[in-house]
Amino acid sequence: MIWTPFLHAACLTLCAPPLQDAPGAEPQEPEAPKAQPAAAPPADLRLHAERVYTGTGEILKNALIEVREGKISSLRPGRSAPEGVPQVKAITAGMIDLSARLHSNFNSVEQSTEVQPHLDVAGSVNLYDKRFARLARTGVTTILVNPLDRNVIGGRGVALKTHGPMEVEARRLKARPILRGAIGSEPSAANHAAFGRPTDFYSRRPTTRMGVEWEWRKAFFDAVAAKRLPEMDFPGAEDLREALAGKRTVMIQAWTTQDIRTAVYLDEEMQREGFGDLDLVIDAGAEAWKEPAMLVRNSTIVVLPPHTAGGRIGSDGAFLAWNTANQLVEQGLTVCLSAHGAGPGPATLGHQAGFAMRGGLSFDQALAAVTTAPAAVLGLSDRLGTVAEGMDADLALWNGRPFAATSRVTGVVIDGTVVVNPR
Amino acid sequence: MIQQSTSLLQRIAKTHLALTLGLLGCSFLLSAQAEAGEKYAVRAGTVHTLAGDAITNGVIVIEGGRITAVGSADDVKIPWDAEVLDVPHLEAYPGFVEAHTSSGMDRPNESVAVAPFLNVRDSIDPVAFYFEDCLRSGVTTINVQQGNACIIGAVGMVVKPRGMTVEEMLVRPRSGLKISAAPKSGMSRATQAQTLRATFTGLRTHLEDLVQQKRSGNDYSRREALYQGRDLSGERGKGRAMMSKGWTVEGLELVPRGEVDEKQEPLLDLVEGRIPAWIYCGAPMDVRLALEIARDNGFLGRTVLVLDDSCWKAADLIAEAGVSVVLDSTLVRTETDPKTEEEEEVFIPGVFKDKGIPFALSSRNSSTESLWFQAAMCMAHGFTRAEALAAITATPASMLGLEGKVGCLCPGAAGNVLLTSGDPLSVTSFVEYVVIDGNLVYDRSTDIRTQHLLEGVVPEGTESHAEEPEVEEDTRKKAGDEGGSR
Amino acid sequence: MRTQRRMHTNALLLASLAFVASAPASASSREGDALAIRAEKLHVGDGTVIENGIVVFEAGVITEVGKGAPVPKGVVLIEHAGHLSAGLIALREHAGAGGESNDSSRAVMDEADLAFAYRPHHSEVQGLLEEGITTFVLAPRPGSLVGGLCAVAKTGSEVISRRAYLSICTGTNGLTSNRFPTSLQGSQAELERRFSWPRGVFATAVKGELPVMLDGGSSRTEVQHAIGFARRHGLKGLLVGSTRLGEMAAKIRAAGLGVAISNYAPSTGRRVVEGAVALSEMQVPFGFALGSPNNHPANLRLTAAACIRAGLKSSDALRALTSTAAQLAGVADKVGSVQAGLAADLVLWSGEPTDPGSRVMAVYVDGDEVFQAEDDENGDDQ
Repeated sequence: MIWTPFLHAACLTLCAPPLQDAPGAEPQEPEAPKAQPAAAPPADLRLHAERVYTGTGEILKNALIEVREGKISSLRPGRSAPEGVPQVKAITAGMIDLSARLHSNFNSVEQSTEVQPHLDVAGSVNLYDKRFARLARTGVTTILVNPLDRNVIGGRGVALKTHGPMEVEARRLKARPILRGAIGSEPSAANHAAFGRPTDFYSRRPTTRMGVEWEWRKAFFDAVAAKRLPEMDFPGAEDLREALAGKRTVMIQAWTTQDIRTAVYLDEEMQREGFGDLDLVIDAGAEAWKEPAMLVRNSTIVVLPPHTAGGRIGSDGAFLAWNTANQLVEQGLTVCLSAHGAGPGPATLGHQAGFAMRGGLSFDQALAAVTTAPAAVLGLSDRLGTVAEGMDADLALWNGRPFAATSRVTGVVIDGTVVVNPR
Repeated sequence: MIQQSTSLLQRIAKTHLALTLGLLGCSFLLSAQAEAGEKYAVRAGTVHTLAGDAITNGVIVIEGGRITAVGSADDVKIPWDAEVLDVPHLEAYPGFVEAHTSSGMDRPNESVAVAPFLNVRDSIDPVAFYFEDCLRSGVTTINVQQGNACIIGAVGMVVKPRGMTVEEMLVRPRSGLKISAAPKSGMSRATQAQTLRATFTGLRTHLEDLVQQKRSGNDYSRREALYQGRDLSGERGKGRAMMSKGWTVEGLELVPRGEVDEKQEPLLDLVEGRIPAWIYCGAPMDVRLALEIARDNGFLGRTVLVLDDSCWKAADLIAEAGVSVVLDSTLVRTETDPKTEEEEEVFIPGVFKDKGIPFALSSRNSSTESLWFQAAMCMAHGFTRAEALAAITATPASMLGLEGKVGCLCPGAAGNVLLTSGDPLSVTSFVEYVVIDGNLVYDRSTDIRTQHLLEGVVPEGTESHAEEPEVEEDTRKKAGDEGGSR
Repeated sequence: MRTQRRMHTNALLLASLAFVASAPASASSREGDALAIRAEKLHVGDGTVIENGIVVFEAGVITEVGKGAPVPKGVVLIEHAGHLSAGLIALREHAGAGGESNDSSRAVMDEADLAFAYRPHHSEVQGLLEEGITTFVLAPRPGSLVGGLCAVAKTGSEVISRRAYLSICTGTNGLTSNRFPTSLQGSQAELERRFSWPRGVFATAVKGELPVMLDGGSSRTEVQHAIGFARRHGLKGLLVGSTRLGEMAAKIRAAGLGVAISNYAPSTGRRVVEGAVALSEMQVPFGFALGSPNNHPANLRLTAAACIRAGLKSSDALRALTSTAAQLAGVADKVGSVQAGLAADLVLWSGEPTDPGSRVMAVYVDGDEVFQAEDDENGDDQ
């Protein structure tokens, strides 16, 4: 029972000619293009599934998917599997984790000042990190990488596929820009009061939650002021103004209800001041269930942290009720799920969807929370999140019903490349 | 939906009292029955006996703690005086069996490295959260053994998660001796191996000394035994030739068994095959030592290996030795090829299944470790449902010498029944009721903790309810009015 | 073996020589101090080997090289029963700066000039000579984002180039936890800013007039960033500090950069030495470097030997140690080959220079014998 997921990855790329030696290979049909000159060239990849969960509420039975140049070129239900075409039980769109936490370490957040809206985490992303491949193996095909939450405003996140070119700029998705920050105890965790002679820049504010909150407000006020007074300009001011103008999603980590409230109030204060309206996403909002009304009022999107057996999660000991996703969805909120990385342990993003279903979420809602909802946050709904013609060929291949504990992702396709061969 | 002849609470209280009074001192196989002659019946939508086909609209009759009849409602008559749990919307499964755990104890490890004279009985905490949580995840039979940080550990026991005293919980005493082939912290592998071997050499020397004393007419051991107040009556007062598949000591029949040093006795039980060994291996290399010790001392046939996930590499050795294993670690192990740096995933139960090695899964009591979840993972990796369920029922039952007694719903077995809202391996199913020995011991509708976890709502009147800040409502209102908390 | 024995060199004498040598205006060129050496095998530096080749030098400069090169009257001809090559060049070294080669309190030290940190008489320098290293690039220790201008120094003698490289750490080596930048994105933003609106040395570098020495850090990602950075700003120069450079050979070639191979240790060495082979196959110019505090000078040649063991051609290894290194350091018109017109920096070897079993018998810098093996008969301690 040992398998090497990447064994055939190299030979199953999107380039023609199609696959020769892999089990997923489709023998070339030499006469086909000649017989019908008008027909499309042979597909780079063909897959057959008993059920394709398209993500639009539709389930296509016995569907044949064709992939050309990294995109789904055709999707036809009611077909039998042609010989040599890999057959699987179920196919969903590749899953998307907005809080994959694949930043490398302390090198992935600039701590010399608290507010760094202009810095892009792309500079510290290590694509050779094994966790990318591990995530890909679990059917997660797109992730958002953010700076480590040790700053108040950590900087810009980067949306990446979990497989592809080995350079960040080549792999970066043209997603809606994300400004990442945090509220809670983490952004102030490294700081301390200066005893005697201050030896480094950690002897400074903030050392409390209110200090963190103050830094947020000051940053926005300063950015607005700098627009009128150019001498007040500072690096990142423009990013903050774009955030206020709604051109940039502001993703704030806030575990507890106290911190979620601070984030929402910050947004509401900006609105009252006439500065703008933040497009707010709460990440790791474990306690969002406690006061959903304010989130509804502000139409905030919530990314939930992974399920735990005991409910408590995160350094602030937030309590994530198992039915949180369902509660929020019932209130009309958009919810995304996250596995917070690639292990350890078997709790993958697919399992998170299952756990959300244990808490009452329907299958379609759970599917949306790991595909279409996060795709919309990234502004990439036209490319990601659903299985439809013209969409990116990012597919999770399942050996049973998706999200069931008794099934798993056995194959993964990213941009038309078979990254994990279903066997 | 539920018809019960007496109030549940009353009944549970009654059972507890009866158990406490009736079971003190009882130390035999399946001690369990609550009140002899009391009858309990379950009627479920489907009864999965795991010992044959599933029965639609099935009935399970439990008398005196044991199942007396299982079958279709058309065939099996429910005694007129039985209390009935009528749940046609639920599915019945046998309770799951935990082959080996060190949970539920005060602390799992003793600092004395060689301590076969200890018994987990003295460490098991009946009110440990672990036992309560076992009910939620459907575990009704638990083999408690000392932790892995030992050389030779305590004697374990099989319990059920029910009862206010260890005696009440008892299913089977002396379920085996814990041994570790992996170094206890602070020890090297060489020291561990050396001490392990020396312990059995020490037993042999002790027995030879006893025989020698008897032969030379020296009665020192008898006086010592009497002085310590040991029982020398009946069988204990008689000598018996050594029965071992390994080494033997000639003339042991001269020594009354009661005169054998209490500290050595569990080891002698092991060597003579009266109790099994649970040997922990933390690395593939430990397997060889574990098997060597078991072979040399004649208890290989009664050995179960408790394995770290790395030990899959020793599967051939284990298959050759013909022993069973408990998987004590993650099921999917990631190995990195040192040359290509590529990662490979190994599904550990798959390795053992392919080699024909009987294996049991073991939980560490979290949502992704509990037995049902692990069995589900086995299915996700290509096991049949029967194979996956066997690893948490029949296989561990047989390791514990309880085949046919637990892990199946068949006549003669303990009346341990789970009633689930659906497939127990489904993430959307819940254990709704648990029956142990014909007593209803768990009802999810009254389980405060599950409610709390599931809905976040802390039931009124409970301790943690007080933790919720009362000002919350006010703050929100005020914030709404003034629009912020400056 | 040699027909003439010259005075023994000791540290004291070396120090005094160096002191003189470092004075301005080619102090080493002494009138009439001409010499000729005939070696069984003379390695020119471009890959050609002259059997029984003669090199004649005068006033510190090579005047004639060839099999039958005429030896002027009155000039002593030393017969060397062994090999002769140009002095070896280490592409990154901190010797002779006495720990003053960087200032970690500041992230950007763009105007720091390593030539001012060079102490030719420093005790560390003697060790280089004993290993036949006659020229080295004095670079700042990692720790700053921009460490300053690297100098090319003659071992124990003068600085021959003050602006060999601008030293830049694009990777984690430029970070510390207690001053800006603490993060890779911070360091990249700062470097982008400096090079996108370049002034001073940055402008010179962007114009291609000042090569850069890029310490990318050890991981593949960091090396990629370094290469990308160089390409984005059209920078020329050297990549140093990673064991992963071989895997990036194609990208390095595309960026037109050179490589300094270092960090060899048997434990991590396979990657390094196989990388050298990959670079060679990809025709990426590379030399060898020392450049970490615990790197003994002997490691320069041992690394080359390990690369040969992994499949690098011996002649390519020697080129990397001499002429290619000189080209990479921008001093090929002064050192690195046994050619008329170049400095008489010569090493006499007991055997093949890249054979780790060969010993350094004597070293000449600017025509002066600055090192001589103690004794041929019991000279095992060299």
